[in-house]
Amino acid sequence: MIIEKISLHNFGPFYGDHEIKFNIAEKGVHIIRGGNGQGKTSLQRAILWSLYGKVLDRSGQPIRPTSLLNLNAFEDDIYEFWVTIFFKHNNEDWSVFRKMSSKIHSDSKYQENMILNVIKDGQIIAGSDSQHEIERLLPYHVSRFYFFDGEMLRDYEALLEQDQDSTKLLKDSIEYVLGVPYLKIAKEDLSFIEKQFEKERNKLIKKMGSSNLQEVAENLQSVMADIEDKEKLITVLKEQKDRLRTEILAKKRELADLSEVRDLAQSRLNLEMEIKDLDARKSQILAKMQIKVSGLYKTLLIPPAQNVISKLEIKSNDVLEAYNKRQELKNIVSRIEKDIAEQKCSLCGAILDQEKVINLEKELKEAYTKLELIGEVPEPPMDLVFYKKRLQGMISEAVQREDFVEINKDLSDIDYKIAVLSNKLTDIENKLSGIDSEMPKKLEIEIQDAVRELGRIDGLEEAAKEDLTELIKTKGEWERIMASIPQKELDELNKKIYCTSSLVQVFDDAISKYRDERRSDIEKTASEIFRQIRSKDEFDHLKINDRYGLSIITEKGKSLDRGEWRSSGEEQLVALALIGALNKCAQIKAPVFMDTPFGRFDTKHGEKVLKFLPKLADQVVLLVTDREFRKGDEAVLEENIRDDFTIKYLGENEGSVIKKTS
Amino acid sequence: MVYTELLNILKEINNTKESKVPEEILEEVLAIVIKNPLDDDRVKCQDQIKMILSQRWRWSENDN
Amino acid sequence: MTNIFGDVRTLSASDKAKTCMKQLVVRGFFKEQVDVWRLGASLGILTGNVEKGEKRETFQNINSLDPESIFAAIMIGLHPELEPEDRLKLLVDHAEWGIREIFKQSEIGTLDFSKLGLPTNNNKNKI
Repeated sequence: MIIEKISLHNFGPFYGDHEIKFNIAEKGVHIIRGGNGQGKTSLQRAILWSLYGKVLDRSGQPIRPTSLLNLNAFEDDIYEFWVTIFFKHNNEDWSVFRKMSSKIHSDSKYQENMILNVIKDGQIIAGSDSQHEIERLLPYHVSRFYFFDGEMLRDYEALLEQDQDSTKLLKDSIEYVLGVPYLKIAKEDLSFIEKQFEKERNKLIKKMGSSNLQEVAENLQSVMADIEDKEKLITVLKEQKDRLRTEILAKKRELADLSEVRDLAQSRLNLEMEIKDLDARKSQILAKMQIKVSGLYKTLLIPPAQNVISKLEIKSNDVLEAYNKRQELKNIVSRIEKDIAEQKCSLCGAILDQEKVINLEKELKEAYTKLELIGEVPEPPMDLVFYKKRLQGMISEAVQREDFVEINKDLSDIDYKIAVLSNKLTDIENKLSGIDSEMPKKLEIEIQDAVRELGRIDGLEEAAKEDLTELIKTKGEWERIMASIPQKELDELNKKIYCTSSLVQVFDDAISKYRDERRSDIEKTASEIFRQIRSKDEFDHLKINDRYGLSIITEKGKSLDRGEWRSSGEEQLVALALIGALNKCAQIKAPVFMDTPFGRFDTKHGEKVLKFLPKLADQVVLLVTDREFRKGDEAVLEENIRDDFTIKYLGENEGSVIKKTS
Repeated sequence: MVYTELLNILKEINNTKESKVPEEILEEVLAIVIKNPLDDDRVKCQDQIKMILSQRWRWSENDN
Repeated sequence: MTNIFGDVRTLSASDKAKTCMKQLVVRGFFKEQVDVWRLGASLGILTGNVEKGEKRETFQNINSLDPESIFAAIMIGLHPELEPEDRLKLLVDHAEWGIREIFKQSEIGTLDFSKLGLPTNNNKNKI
């Protein structure tokens, strides 16, 4: 299949009629440029919708027909849209025209009124055969390997994780590509027919009327009903698991995008903690300062206090001297009078003789004389003494000014640090404004919940499968009993059931064998591609093991664990090699459309991939943004570029347009 | 090409079985399924296969 | 002990002084308003500056403000000649000036406790 032209009418952002015509005179690469949201993905979706009548969004959910109609057309009350693809296949000219229209804007009405016209070399292919023809050209389940985007590459990167989801993805991919769905469909159809024969047999047994037979038939019917219920349950559980897996993948993808947000949120938290610690430290220092400040007044009062103390001292000294002297004399008088009266010395305790008494009387007289000379001396005012003592005490308790120097320095340092951290915090908050910074955590919790739920459903599925095995065994026992009952018609039905069952077994075994055999083909082709685009020469080939786990093998035969060489560019090379291999092994010739695949490649990796791309298919269409495809990249592809278009969104009134790049 | 490849696998598996299914039946069933791969084709496809089995079941009598 | 400040048991302050003291506590420099008052009064006494006039209303009990009788000792020492009521009024005038001065320095960001009250080129302390 080589696409010549695509015509669109009111599809997605394309209002009215639009067309893109490819130069297909030679094999090569066609570039379609456009920024984000301009219409590149819509163009790819238009092709898939035209071929299959359905198209999925990024989370794997079908997009409703009402969402496909162009908004301007909707506002103009024009409820119709169509897409035509013109292509060549095996030298035949084909066109596929699909249209949806309705009198009202309703999903069911659009679906009801859908038209599909397939024309091959001028001959209209009638009715349901038209969709069959498309399915033969490019089966729906295989189309994903021909129309993919950067996000699908990311899903395939996860294959290297070798967890349960990734091995299932690889297994399913190989099945789709290699025609295994035909074997699976055949097996399912045959199983259904087997059940139908069994139902006929049971009806027959009831009709026959024999009570033995009837009892056996009833038991058999009951077991078969149980088997059917169990199988339905297993199918439902499988569907639930598939939905959960899709959900988990989408959330993981979203989480990867948000990893930067998570890092910023963590930095913010760390900064807030640091600032909080600094604030606490500052509070402690302020408290210390306040205590010192409460005593500072004493320091300030030292000069006036010293002044007052000296004045008080001068004032009280004279009075105090005279007073003290008088007090001393009075004490002497008092002692001598006592000694004379007692005729005993109060100092040594000796009895006084006459001579000593006379001396003491002399001393007493002298003392009286001195007292008279001093005269009356008033008591020194005690409050002066008190105040002097208070002020002297105050001076000794005064705070040192130097203490404040150190406190000021500490406060200044902390204020500076807080300012620096606050600036950083403001920067981060600006970056995070408008983003829910809790989202990464929420997503992680959601993913964990989904994984847990997946585990639970796995458990239920296992239990259901065990029950099913037991039921099938029981059924077999009843059938053995049945077979021993001789009835011609019954025999015939039993044999038909046996034949159908044999066929089911053959197809079932064929599925496993075919898949396992072709696994090595995929591995070989993926390795060949990988060698052309690898970034390190020591990476030798890829290996898909028995459990469908994927790993890189070095020249020395070492199997690399993903953590050892973690680089998103290298992981994407592996993903691309795998998709390329699946594409080639599908043995279907169709164009490859890649929607913004280079977002995460660096220059080195991107160049190797670009050089490889023309070999991927006869027609390769790259839908790229300017950021991921620059002048240098054009130079790498130069002689292989056949077309260069640009899709541009011109605003609400006009929508998107497709033009040759000037 | 897919048909030939799948048929070869089916024949290979069939040859390992004690009671073999006639190869013509494998050919016919596979051909019908490949011609009717869509969800909407199931009823038609099953009816065609059932008709073949109803007519050709006697092969199993050789095994009994 | 003679009554240095007479029979008055409470001390007054103007509304402006009270506002300044409140603000200075809020800003974290001081633990309590009495700390501001004491430092302001000390600064006024040290520099010999006073702020007169303005209506003043009761602020605190004298014993709460001067539990160690330091201000009483200073004021009686410096002004023995004054009547007690006048001595008290002078103390309050010193405090009014000192509180305003501390607040002003805090406003313009020059409040430095290590240097508060030290003589600068522009002003020499009176005492």
